[in-house]
Amino acid sequence: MTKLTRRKFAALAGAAGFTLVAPACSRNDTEAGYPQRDITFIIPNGPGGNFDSFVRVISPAMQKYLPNEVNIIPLNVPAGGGGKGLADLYRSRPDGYTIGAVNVPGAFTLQEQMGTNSFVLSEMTWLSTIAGGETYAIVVAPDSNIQNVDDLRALSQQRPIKFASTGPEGTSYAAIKVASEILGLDTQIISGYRGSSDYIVATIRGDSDCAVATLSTLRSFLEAGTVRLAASFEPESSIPGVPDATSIGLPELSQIRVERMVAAPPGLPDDIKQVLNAAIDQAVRDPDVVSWAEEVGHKWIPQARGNGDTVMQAQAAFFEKWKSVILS
Amino acid sequence: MLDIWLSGFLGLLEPTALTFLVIGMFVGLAFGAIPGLGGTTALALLIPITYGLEPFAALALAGGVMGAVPMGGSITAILLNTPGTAPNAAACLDGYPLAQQGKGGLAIGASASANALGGIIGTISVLLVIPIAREVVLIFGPPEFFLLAVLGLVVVSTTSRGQMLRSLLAGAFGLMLAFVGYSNVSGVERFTFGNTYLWDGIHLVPALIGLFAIAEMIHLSVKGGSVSHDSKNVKVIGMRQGMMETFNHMGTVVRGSLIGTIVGAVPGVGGTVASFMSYSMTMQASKNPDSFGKGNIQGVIAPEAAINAKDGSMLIPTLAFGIPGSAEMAVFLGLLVLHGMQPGPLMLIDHQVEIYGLIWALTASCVMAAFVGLLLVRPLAMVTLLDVKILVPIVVSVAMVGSYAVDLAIENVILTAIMGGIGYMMIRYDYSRLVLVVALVLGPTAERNYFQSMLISDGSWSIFFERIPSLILFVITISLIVYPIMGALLGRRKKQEGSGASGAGS
Amino acid sequence: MNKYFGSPLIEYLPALGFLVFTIIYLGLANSYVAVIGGEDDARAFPSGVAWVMLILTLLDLVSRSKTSTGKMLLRVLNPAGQDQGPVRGVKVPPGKQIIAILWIFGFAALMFVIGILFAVPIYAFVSMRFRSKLPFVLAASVTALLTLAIWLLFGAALRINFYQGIFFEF
Repeated sequence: MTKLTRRKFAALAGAAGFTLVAPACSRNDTEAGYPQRDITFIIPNGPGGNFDSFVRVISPAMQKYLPNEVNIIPLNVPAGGGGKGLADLYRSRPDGYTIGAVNVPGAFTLQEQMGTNSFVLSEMTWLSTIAGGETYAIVVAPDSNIQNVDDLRALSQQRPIKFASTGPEGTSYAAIKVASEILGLDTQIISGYRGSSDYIVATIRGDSDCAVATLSTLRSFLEAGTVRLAASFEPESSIPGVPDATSIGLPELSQIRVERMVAAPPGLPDDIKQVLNAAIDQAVRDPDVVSWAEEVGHKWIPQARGNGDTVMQAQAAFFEKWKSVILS
Repeated sequence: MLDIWLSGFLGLLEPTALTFLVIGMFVGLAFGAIPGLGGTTALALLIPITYGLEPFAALALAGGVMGAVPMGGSITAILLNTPGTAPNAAACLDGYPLAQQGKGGLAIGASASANALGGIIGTISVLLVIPIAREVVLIFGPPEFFLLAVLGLVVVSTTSRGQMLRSLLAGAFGLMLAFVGYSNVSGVERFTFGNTYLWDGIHLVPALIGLFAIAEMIHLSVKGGSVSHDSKNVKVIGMRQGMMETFNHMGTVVRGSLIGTIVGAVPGVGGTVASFMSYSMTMQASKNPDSFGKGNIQGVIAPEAAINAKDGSMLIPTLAFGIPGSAEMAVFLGLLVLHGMQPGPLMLIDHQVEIYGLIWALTASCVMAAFVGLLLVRPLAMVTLLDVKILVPIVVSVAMVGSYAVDLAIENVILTAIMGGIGYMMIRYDYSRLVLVVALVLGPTAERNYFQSMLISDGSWSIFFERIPSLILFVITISLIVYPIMGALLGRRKKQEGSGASGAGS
Repeated sequence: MNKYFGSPLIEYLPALGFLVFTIIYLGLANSYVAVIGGEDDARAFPSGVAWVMLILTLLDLVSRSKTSTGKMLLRVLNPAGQDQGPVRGVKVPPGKQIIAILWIFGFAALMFVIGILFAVPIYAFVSMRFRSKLPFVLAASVTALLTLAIWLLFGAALRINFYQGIFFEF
């Protein structure tokens, strides 16, 4: 971590949140005046969860690039498996003072389960993704007999292949379903594990034959030599010796992605949307943020500014296409 | 190895790290004491502050908080029957009766030394286990977790021998409540009536606040007077006596710490079960089990020793593979990630010095918090002399707001009120709240791991006997069920052969 | 006081309460069909536990009566319950207990309707002044200090958005 600069200290102190709660002021800011007060950044996970660190790293950086000096305050709303956070975001006033992190495509499954009384994804305002999304890879235990996709197919002929995963409301579950369909595998999902680390360890232990996880999650395990990859769904494999979607001949696999989307309530005015998109865009390229991502091992590829709508369209189409498979 | 331990310790002695350790300690103490807040909230609040710090200072802060929370929680548990955090609820069972007898100071003193000793023993155990941390985590899979959950349930329901029926009832009730919510095993919402709040099930901390704190406040408001009946004792008994009590019961301390260490390492089961199991097993081993629940000092020492021991061992799955054992650990993981330390197998390889620094911080904070607790014993115990007419509204208000604050859901307040009513009825009619709580915590674990085991083994029950760890657990569980029954049968036969006095159970 | 099988109604209350709860629970539990895995998976555990609970509740119910079966059950299964004396040395009329419980529910409902920062002082003041008949100054000052403390701790230090009641947007 770099030394504490003055600017960072200010952001730091602000984020520390020892200022008193400001009463709600007037709701209609002039266009030039946004932002006038603190912005809440909803995280539909518990603290320490999936999105949490992304938002917490991005927020101080975003603060630097907003026209006025205000704080961006992360707020965890883990209830309802993330559904409450999304519902709160959906119902908030579209004045630019509430934004949220949305896990896509997990949110689609959640919407199916919770019904559109709580929130309607298609109506939300989509800002940008935080650096590029991630594709998945199939991970196996180091001593497993499975070397590649062919082995998986052969095994699938004899018996269903066991994948360890979190529950059906999670992204890995959907990823397994779609991937199995594309690869033509007969699979059985052992669900209910409590997180990606949990089900990766389950695979190492032998509870299951394999699992799917993003490469960021797998990096630590790979470097320690505790797992092996049977395949990567990237168009071009970043790990030598591991077959990728192209070489398997199924480029469609790379469409299975996790995106970290920032969203706002429906009806956000365009000018505020632009201010936020600019802040996100610059924050993502901020040197402190980039170096953090490197240290932790996240794949960090800044995307086009304001790509929210494009990405959501692709994701919605993807989900529509595979809905019956995922929900079966 | 030894030099890394040393570097970890020395790293703490730097002024920045030391300052943050002490700050964390005080924050942990305060947050632990207030119901509804706790280590999780404290850490989450402090994460932004650590953003610009060196990793060591951040870990010192985290360790400071986590080590002190249990002590803070035990103070309110003992004096007001209001557990500051879920695991502290076990201390209510005997700590509060002691406070009522005017011996609140004694109980806090004993708790403080139990905390300190338990923390130290826990640290030693963890340091010994870390080299084999990965193997340990790999041993425990769904079959083992299922059997552990069953074992936990059996332990707490078989201890109250004179109250078998009503304890089992309370336990079954707790299990029924445990199944409320969305189950990711079967993909179905159960007993939620479409309510988003109930999706997550019965929220544990608000339920506990209701069952223990609110129920007791209801009882007090009916009874009148003040918590303590005996004002003379409150002023006289102080810290030295309390501390000494713990040394009189070193066996209890060691047993509690070991239970805490072992149970604490099981992800998702954690502190609450550890402290309650420690309580139950101490009661079972005691020559005077009926004195528990009425002010037996061992009933305070046992759970408090377990709680601090568990803090260290909860780190094991967290650090070995990045699997958080509890909500607090999950937040802690977030803290690590923020500072560029990716939890996972590499953590134990690349960041050993920091890890040992953290463990030292935990231990140091635990001991320091115990001292602060001891220093504050006399003024704190005065609370028990306060008239309930003032005390009750204050405690109820803070407890309810705390319950709301857990996850900012106003429904928590309603849940707390309902559980308060139920808790009061359980006091009135003598049903065990301890068993209810353990069942509430272990129910989902048992169900989820059972179905996962069945999926792994393709429906065969043999999986519970095939692996050595699960076989061992199975045997222990069966013997814990059979042993008391045998004892009861043999005992009754002896009594019949003997003086012919009426056999009133064992 | 009417006695049923030797015991007043009030002694059967918990068992009856549990019984009603269990029957409803059992009905609901059997209606759940799992989406993944075996169809019965969603109802296996809740249903199984509920059946056991049903049996336990019936045993409890009978053991509370003063019939010979009841007494035998109590002696064997729950001997500590035989000296069913007043709880913790306090004998209290049922009415007073119900009122105490209602105060809590009332406070919770108040918080729900008008929000936390209004409900706390109202509850505290009314409780101390009208229920406990404490002097006005004492009640008012304790209330003020309490509300301030809660606002400082939760609102200022923790920056919690206090729930504002059903009439305001959160």
